[in-house]
Amino acid sequence: MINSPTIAYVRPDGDLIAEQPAPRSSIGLFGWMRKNLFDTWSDRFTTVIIAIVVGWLSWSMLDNWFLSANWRGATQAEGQLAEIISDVDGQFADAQRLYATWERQARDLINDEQRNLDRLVSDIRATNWVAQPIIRNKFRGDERQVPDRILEQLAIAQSKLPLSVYARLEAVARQLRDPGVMTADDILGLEDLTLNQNEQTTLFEMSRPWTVLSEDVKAEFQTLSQQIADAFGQKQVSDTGKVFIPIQDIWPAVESLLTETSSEDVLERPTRIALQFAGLVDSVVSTPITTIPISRVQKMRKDTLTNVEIDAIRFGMAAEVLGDPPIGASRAQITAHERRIAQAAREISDATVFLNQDMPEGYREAIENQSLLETLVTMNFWSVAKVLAEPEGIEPETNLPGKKAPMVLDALIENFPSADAQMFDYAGASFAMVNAYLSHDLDRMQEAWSYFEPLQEWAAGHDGSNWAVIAKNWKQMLWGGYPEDALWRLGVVLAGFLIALLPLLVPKCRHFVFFAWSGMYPLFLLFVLGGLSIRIYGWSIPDDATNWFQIAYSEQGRVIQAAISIVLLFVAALLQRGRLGKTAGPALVVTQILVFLYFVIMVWGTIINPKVAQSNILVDNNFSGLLTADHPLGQQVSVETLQAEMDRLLLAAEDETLSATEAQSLRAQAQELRKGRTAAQKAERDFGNVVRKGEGTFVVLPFVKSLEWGGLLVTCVLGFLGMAASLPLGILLAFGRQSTLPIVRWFSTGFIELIRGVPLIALLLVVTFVLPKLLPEAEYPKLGLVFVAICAFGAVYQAEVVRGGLQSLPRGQYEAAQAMGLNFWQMSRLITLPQALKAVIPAIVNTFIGAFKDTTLVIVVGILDFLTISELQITAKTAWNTTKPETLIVISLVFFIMMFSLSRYSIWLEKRLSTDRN
Amino acid sequence: MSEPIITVKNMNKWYGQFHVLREINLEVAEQERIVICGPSGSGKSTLIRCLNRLEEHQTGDIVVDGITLTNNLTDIESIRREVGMVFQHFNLFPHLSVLENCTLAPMRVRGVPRKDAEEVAMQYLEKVKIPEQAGKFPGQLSGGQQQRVAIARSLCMRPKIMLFDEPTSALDPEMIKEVLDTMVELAEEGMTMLVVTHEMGFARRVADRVIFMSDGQIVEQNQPEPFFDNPQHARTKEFLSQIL
Repeated sequence: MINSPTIAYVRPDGDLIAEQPAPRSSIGLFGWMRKNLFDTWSDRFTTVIIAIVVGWLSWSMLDNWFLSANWRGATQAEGQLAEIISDVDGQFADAQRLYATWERQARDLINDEQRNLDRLVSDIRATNWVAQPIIRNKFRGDERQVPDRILEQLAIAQSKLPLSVYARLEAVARQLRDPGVMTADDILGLEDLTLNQNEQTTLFEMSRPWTVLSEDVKAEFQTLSQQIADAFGQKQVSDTGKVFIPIQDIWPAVESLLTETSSEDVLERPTRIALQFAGLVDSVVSTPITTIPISRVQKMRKDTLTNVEIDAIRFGMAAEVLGDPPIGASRAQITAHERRIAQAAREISDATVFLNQDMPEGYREAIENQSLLETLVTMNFWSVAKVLAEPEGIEPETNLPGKKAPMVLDALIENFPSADAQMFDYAGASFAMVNAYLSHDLDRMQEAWSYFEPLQEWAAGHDGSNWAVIAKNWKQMLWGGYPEDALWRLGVVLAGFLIALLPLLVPKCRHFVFFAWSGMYPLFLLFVLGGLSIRIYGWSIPDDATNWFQIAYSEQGRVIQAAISIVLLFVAALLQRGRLGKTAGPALVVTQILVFLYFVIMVWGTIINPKVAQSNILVDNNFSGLLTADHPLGQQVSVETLQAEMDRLLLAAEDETLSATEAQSLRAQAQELRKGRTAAQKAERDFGNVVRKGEGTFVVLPFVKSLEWGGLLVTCVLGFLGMAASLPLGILLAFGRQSTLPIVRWFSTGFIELIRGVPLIALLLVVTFVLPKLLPEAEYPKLGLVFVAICAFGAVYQAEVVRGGLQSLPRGQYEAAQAMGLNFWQMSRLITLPQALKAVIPAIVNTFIGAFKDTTLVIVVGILDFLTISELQITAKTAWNTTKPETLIVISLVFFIMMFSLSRYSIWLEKRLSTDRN
Repeated sequence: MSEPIITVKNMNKWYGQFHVLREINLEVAEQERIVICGPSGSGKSTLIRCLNRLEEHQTGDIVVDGITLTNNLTDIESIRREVGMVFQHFNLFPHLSVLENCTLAPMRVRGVPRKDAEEVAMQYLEKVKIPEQAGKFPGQLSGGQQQRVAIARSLCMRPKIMLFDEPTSALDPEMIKEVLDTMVELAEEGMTMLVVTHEMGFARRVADRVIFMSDGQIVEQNQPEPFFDNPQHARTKEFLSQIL
């Protein structure tokens, strides 16, 4: 018999304990907070951290959206006034942080400017809104005659300033620029040549306020305006040097102007104007232009369209017929292509005029209802006919499109569904046309058309689906513009993908290595597809390092950091032994992840870190392909070597035995080098001696910019990686939403509801256009930003699905797991998650399928995925514009096959995991 | 008298404003078998769930195996390692086989190697007389078998104390016996047990002490014979008259 520690006990009658109120500390708001927010140390830590983050975010949002927001002003510019001013204000604040490192003169300069600015800002703050436009004018420079002194001192300051401050100061300097000096930028930039659609003219004017300019500059500009006016013949020049030029006159005139000007800056001008036209096309008509019946265009011309728009349409037609420049084309190729488009547009223009002038009446009726494309073909035959006829002197007085072979026709023939030139002898047909035309005989003209009968017959036998579009474009549909010589990487990535799928598909494939590979695969994919290079910027901390950033990114700094992280790992591993081990498990995992991320960032740091990225971009962009491995300087260049090479080239150009073209070419090369040298100088100024083009760079795989990825590749990367990322994120969010810690719960719930409440299209636009403004300034790849949106969107849906699964578990499962001594993570990993996920496999896969198909919405931000590339790049072209059904069928089929497989997989998985009675 | 393995002192618990456990004082010696009975809503289950911190109490002290229960997670986990619990609804893990159910906690919590854990599990499954079911999933077993697996699962952790929360209430009458037999066997081996049950036969046969609870407080406790044959408190009498 065991001794009972207590004797038999009976509570006396009448001594029953009455119900008592709960202690104060466990009820009410205070008790609630104590229990829910600050119960344990980890609770307190989480609560405080999240509260700080949320508070900080909400404060800046509150400030931006309400406290500092502007609600008034008739135009955007008026509303932006405050922003402009605080921006400039901030520039000086930033500049002053480095005040101590400046020379005396530069300090004076900044002091002066700060005082001016302060006065201006206080003026503006003191006045009401009505007065502000006036002050804005003043701010632009009306009364601010900036003396030479400031420019000089700015130049002095520049040599001392870090790059970022320099860039800001340059922006300030633009505001303050001496009105006595006119640079090429002022009048030759694109901004200066604005198209005035309402006036049906091109307006040539000074971009800076006229009143700011000194008399010399005014005179100089007016002279230039007069020259331009003369070039266009007898046009008015206003007092402020404005010239209005009918748009159709601009091509020949600009060209003639260009032949007189040798400045290299001007050479790019037709390209810019051409681009401007191309931009206009979109604003005029959104339907493919070539499918509009000619009669409608004629009508539009009369009723609604301005000359500018008509010209834009012509330009658009030319651009459509000739297509886009090849992806990855060099700058020179693109320029040449744009010139071809401009020329083709001119031909179309001429042909149209010609057609309108002397088309026989009957023939005009015959083509009235042809599509514009068909009309174009006709017109071009017409043009050819005229050209061929001319040498015989039959139509000497007609203003012909020129004796060059019309490019539009060439392109049409080339892109015709059957490119077989033997199908019809267009020269012969053209001759027949000529004869018919000369005799003004409609019957004979129709007979001439009959020469095309073989083509018509061929067409009659092939009027079903046109699968040529797939046969011709399948490469583009699969990987877009991914470089052909890097295609092997797609193979590697695909093979890696199949291996990564093994643990999901083969039940026996449960070895750790396979799971590790599946986990690592996304990173592998990024490195292989995107390229990888490691830059080592020199060992020591720069002597003139002025901030932590420079120290951290020196090699020494990195080694110290690496050492710290290794110690961390070691400590974590020690913790895993012994009694603490059971609870230290998650800590170890977290540490390992952090250390891993740390190393990833070390390798990719130069890309991720915006400042380094900026500098790299600056340097890389300005070398513009000139300094390839073939160049005598190779990639190992520095400011000194660039300067030396530049001097050598300039000296060589002075050689009088050289022809003008050769000398010009040498100077152009020197000019390229100058850009590189300036960039390198600026970069060095900011980063000490750490940035040198190519120095210490070990290129494992050359970079392939994500802009070049396309087609099914992009769809799969977004779709499958999105799935892989969204499920774990969703699980975390689901846990967060179920957390006993209210603050974690609110945060997760808020995130889920926020993302779920926004349309995906809006989210895509936000991450593409707003997010980069919130992040540190750098060049963020659009694909990456879009991936973030797709992951977030997928994750919140998965979170709700997983939450459903977790809630479907009986409470007893949690209690049993807890009672056995499992901690939270063990319980989740071993007990609750496996059951919850199994219960919601159909819903998860359903969400996967939805999310995968939703990736096609990236069309709104212009990422060329499988669907977009065919809609915007293949069937949008004239050459394939009737084959939309075919491409859509193929695309749908591919999507269906992938999604159906996924669906079957989920059913198989459900069966495999079933443990019910069998 | 040895040091009690469980000591509860002036413990109070509220659900919101509802005073569910009132001034509980309880000491349990090692190897003692205690049966807790009482009308539903009297706080029996809540009391034993407080002992392994499935529920937390607001005032008073609970000391289990020398460790005072606070919200310190490490303490809670080390107490749970030493306290096994069997639930009314078994709460087996349906996605794991019977054997995996039994080896999970020893392997994950105590760090026992798989081979040893399986050996121990088989030993206990034999003890509850269902070794042949080791490879099956819980969904394929009868209720009585499931509850016996649940007992074996708890025993695999080699706990010092076993808590039973109405282990037979969800079972068909013919299955109750097999579970009770297992519990009797366990009691005879000297396990410290706290059992919430309405099986008075079991209480009479096995218990060292019977505790009667009502309105969240311990109204009467005694050795089984005096408790059943000569209840003192009016409420005890009323309760016993209803169920016997």
